[in-house]
Amino acid sequence: MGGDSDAFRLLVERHSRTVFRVAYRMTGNEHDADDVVQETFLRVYRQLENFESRANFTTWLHRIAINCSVDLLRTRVRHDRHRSNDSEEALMNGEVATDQPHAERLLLSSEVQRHVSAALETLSGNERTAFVLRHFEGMSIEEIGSVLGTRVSATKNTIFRAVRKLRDQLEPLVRTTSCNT
Amino acid sequence: MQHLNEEQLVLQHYGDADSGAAEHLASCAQCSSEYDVICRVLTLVDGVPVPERGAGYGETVWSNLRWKMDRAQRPQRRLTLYLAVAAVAATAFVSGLLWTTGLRRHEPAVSVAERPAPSTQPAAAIARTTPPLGGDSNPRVLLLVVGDHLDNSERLLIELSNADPKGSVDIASDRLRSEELVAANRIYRQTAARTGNSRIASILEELEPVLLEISHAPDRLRGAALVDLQKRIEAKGLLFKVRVIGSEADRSGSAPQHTPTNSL
Repeated sequence: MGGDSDAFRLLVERHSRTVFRVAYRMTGNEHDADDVVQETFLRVYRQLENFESRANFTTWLHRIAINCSVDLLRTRVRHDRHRSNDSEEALMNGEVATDQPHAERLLLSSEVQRHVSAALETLSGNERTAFVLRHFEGMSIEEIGSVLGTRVSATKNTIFRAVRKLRDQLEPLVRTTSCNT
Repeated sequence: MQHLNEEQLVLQHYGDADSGAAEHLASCAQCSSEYDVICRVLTLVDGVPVPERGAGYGETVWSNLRWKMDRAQRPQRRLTLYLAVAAVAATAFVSGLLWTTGLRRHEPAVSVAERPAPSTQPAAAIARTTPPLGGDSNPRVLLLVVGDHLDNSERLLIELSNADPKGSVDIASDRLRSEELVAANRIYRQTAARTGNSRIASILEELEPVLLEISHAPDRLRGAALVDLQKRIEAKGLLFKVRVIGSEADRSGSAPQHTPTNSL
């Protein structure tokens, strides 16, 4: 592939960590995220001739990474459902106690993370995508709409629904945390 | 003003609400409390860490990807070969059939040696029109990354050109960006030269010393040093050239794949 290969290599090296971050936020699993990174760049390579607007390359790359993540999530639906049920059960078991010694606080922290992961898993594919891109990647509503193929109002609604779901599940846990914003 | 609804509070959290929302929040305890809950929930979500991937991660991804890319191409190559062989065979068959029919109708017997050979032109045509499968002659990826690179370089140069030389300017982050750009610039320049993109190679050659100078500058620049740097950027219309070639690369990178290599 010669020079073409060198250039593509730079593209991979430049964007791998970003794609990994998005993939991890989407899948919640390190190994899955690694697989998504590989698959994303493979698809980018195969579809490069279909790419129309260089100005939106990052958006295009995100879209492919998101699609790969969603495909991967679909393939492990059964496993996820099982794990999600466990997590939801844990969530249903009420609030987490707060005045604990240090070691227990660490446990508490990982417990909270588990609850947050479980809450994220209750989001639909579009809700999770919209939320990840807005909350973690800081993408604008318009850019997210471009990734999802939805209009601004629909994109906003998807984000609202995601936040509402997260709030419903996590509000009991936040009574002792502080808001930094 | 009415109380803010949940959607307005979410918009406010992400900085998408209008200024009226912030004013209302400052004066309304009920909305402020509601907003606080949303902030806390979203802050809690931030608490889930993403595993770190080191600086060499891209390299690892590439080394795993490379053989997959090669493997992905192989069936395409095989398919193209099969199609070409099938087309030649079909053409030979049809030509033979037509020739035999014509022979029967109009011609007296002609010796095998005098018969025209079945045309090989379709095979040649197929070879000419089939796009190279990721070969050196495909500049699309190069144009794509160079366009991106020139955009980034342009942003950096504009920032420094517009910095106020009267005060002291912190360019530590620009310096780091410049270091990365220098490394990338070197590879793009060599690739452009190797693939015959002389205009791109030329602008990258002009850009490199300026990027190098920025990457070696102190973290804080003041007065004369900054003015010197700005003069270097302005010299020979570097910023303008970067902008023009960058946008040309953008367009060519977006164009269909068969853009000639020397179209820039």
